[in-house]
Amino acid sequence: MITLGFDIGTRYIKACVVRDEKIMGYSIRESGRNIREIIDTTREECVHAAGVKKREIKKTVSTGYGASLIHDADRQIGIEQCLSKAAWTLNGYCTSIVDIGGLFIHVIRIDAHGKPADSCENETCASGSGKLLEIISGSMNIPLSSLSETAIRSSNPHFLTSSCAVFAESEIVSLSNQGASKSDLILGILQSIASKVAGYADRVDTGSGMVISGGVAKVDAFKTILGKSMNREISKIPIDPQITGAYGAALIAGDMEIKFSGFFGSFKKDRKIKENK
Amino acid sequence: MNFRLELEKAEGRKIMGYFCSYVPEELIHAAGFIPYRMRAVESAGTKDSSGYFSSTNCSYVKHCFDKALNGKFDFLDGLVFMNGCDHSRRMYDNWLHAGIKPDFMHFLTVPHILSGMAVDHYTGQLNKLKSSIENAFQVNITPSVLEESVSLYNKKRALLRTISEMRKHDIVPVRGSEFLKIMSATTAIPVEDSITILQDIIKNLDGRSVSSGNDIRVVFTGCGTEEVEYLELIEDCGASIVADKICLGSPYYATLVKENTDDPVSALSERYLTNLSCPRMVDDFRRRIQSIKQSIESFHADALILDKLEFCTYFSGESLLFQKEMKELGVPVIALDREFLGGNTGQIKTRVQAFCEKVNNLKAKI
Amino acid sequence: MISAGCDVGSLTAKAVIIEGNRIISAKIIPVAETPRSSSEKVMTEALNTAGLTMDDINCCCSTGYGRHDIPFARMNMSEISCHGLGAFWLDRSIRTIIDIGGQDCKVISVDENGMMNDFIMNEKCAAGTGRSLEILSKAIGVDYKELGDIALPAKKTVEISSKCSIFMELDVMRRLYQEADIREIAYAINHAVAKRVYGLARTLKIHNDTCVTGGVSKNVSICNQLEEMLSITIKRLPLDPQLAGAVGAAVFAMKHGDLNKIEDESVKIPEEVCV
Repeated sequence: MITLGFDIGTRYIKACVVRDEKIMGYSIRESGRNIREIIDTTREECVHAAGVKKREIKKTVSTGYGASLIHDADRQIGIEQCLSKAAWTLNGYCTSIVDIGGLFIHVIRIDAHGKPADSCENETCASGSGKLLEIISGSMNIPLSSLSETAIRSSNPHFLTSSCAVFAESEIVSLSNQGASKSDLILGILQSIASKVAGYADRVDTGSGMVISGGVAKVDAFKTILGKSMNREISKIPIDPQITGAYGAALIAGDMEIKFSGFFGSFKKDRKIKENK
Repeated sequence: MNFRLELEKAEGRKIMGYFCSYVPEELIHAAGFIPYRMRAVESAGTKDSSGYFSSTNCSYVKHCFDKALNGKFDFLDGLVFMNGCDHSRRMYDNWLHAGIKPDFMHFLTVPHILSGMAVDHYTGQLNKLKSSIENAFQVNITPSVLEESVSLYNKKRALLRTISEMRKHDIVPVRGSEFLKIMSATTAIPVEDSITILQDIIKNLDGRSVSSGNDIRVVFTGCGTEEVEYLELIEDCGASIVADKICLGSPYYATLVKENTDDPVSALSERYLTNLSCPRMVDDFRRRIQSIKQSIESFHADALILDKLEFCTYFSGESLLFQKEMKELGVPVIALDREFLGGNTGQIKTRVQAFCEKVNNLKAKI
Repeated sequence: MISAGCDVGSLTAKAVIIEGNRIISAKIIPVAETPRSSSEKVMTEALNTAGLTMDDINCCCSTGYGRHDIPFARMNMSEISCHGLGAFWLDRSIRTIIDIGGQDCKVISVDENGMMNDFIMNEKCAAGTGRSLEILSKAIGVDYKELGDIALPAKKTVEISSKCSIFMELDVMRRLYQEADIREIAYAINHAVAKRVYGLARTLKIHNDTCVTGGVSKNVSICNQLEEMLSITIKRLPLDPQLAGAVGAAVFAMKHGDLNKIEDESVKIPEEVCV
């Protein structure tokens, strides 16, 4: 069965085509001015990458801040459910997922059935989110993809004193003007984001198997830094971390069908639960 | 823990921490402890405490609690909390919840109003604190011992006052940031040492000058100001702080405790409750603004700096009223809003320097 | 006598050389590695254009965030005083200056000699500054410079909460995801910034002779909204408003040099820096 998941985030629009829990193709596009066109392009790209025909897609589920934009979605599902579903499907032993996106940070505890048991979201403050990283990488002229290698060169991180993302930027600019090394600054920022995220994560009983996803998870060094600041091992989600929500949405779309198809589907699910225990 | 306390600790003396200016050090001292004013400086961040507080809680409290979570206050043998403000009150709840040291903790309830009844109530609360220390540590705080402590602390306050008075002269012998350093040090070491140090300082201040020609003279008020570097930054911009009204400042030595009374505990209660108040006290605004006006006059100040920590509810209200009153008086005011250990020095520098330029422009016109 | 002003900000460095009431040369460059190197670079360029050397300058005054690190400056003044005096020197009728820059938003009031007598500056929050405009316009995929021109008031303006410039983006994205007209969203963004500036400006006495400086002054929509909110007419400066701070610094240097008052003549500005 082929399903499509949409995750309309605050910064990027993600689509993912899934067949029997396997990703067939996905697409990520920056959101912007002509939102309808962007969505259509994302959908087409994704379907094309998956090598399927549009009519073969049986169910569509949308999630994220702009979930209502997908008019033809069979259902709109909360992002917490999608993230838990995705993490749990990929790794039955995981107990929690931390998703750091453009503006939102989600920390979710996952129960034995892949459902969110408890969750925590950042308050109206972007100081730990991907947006801060994006702003800073822009003003320092370091692409997001090379943040990680820049950070690992440093052994003497510069701690940021300002908790506001915009003022963090001005602090960075002035520190950088004073001759501070870029890698020290980047490591400092990653650590300050990690400490923010760790603060949120402390509010939820995250258990021993923590998985990290979202755009910020693409910065490899961040996983290690967060792990250090929380004193534990954290694993990165084994797919492109940015499409975790979309993948989860597609999986849930698949489940909707399983419920109708009866016995076989539910049998498979039960086995999974046993393995998990 | 500072070096001095380490020595004392090694010799077996006990240390008791306290929050805010409404907890009588004399009582703690009389019980044989070294009173230690709790402080948030030297905090490494708010990483661990941010889970306990929201993003709209006071950064001072967050830094303080983070230090506690990281064992920076483990040297304390006891700790007295009080209902200073709601943020710090909630710190007490979190402290209990986190189950961190020390074992002896007491919550002192201080009335928010000024009246005969409030003083009586407060006396009762102080007696409660006294007996709770006595019971927990098997000591006896006799009136005569308490009298001795009172006279020691009075002596210390008088010395601090002497230093502060010197700042009235045209040639200022001590910078505001240096004075904060003195205050900060003398509330973290045994009072006996403080007295020797202060006597020494007074001797050395004779003939000293830190003023420069173009500096404007300012009175500094604020809450939770503990960072010496912050005051240095302000003074380096051309504002010489000649008087202050901060917890670690003039209210500490504004009034003395009455000596030679039958009941030293009521004498303490009287002094602490009727002393120069913090905005936590209801219905005492007139007296506070009066004392600011007096400071401006007697210290020949040109302007007032109103510093406040972000999310400080007490000072948010106070700040606006102060600005209004100062406008009527024709005294230039600048209100600074900041985070504890918040950095952002570039903007503060610009703001304060521009303020100094403005005051100088206004002075040139007269 | 020839004097110079050097304004090193967080993003650009500016240098202006004046003689009497004439601007000889003016330069803007993006900042280099350190404030020191930025200042040296921009000053050298300005001197070269004027065909002068550093020895020809009688006095140089620095301003901006990097003002303390400029080796050739004999004095420094805060950018607030400099913006005030600079705008005043360019147009002697001006009494209020609203400066909306990248990180800061300031409202400055000057007396009849161009000396600053009051000011207000945004608190520790960047909502209502150029940077927040930039972030928000990027979010809706509109070029930052276009934002003022495409804005169109709708019947009912979307309220964008002004609590935090980054979280303003959530309100913007909500409207975008409701498929609202992009021109209307652009207007709402401008409105949010104008509202913040108005909130600041209101605490000072706003004179009818007001000018807007800083990068945001190029945004027509914000300027128009401010005019309406404050019921004033905004004057435009005859030169690139980004240079006002450096001009002010140069005038301070001139005043410092021979303590005279500013000559009451109209200012001559070279064409390349005019607007």
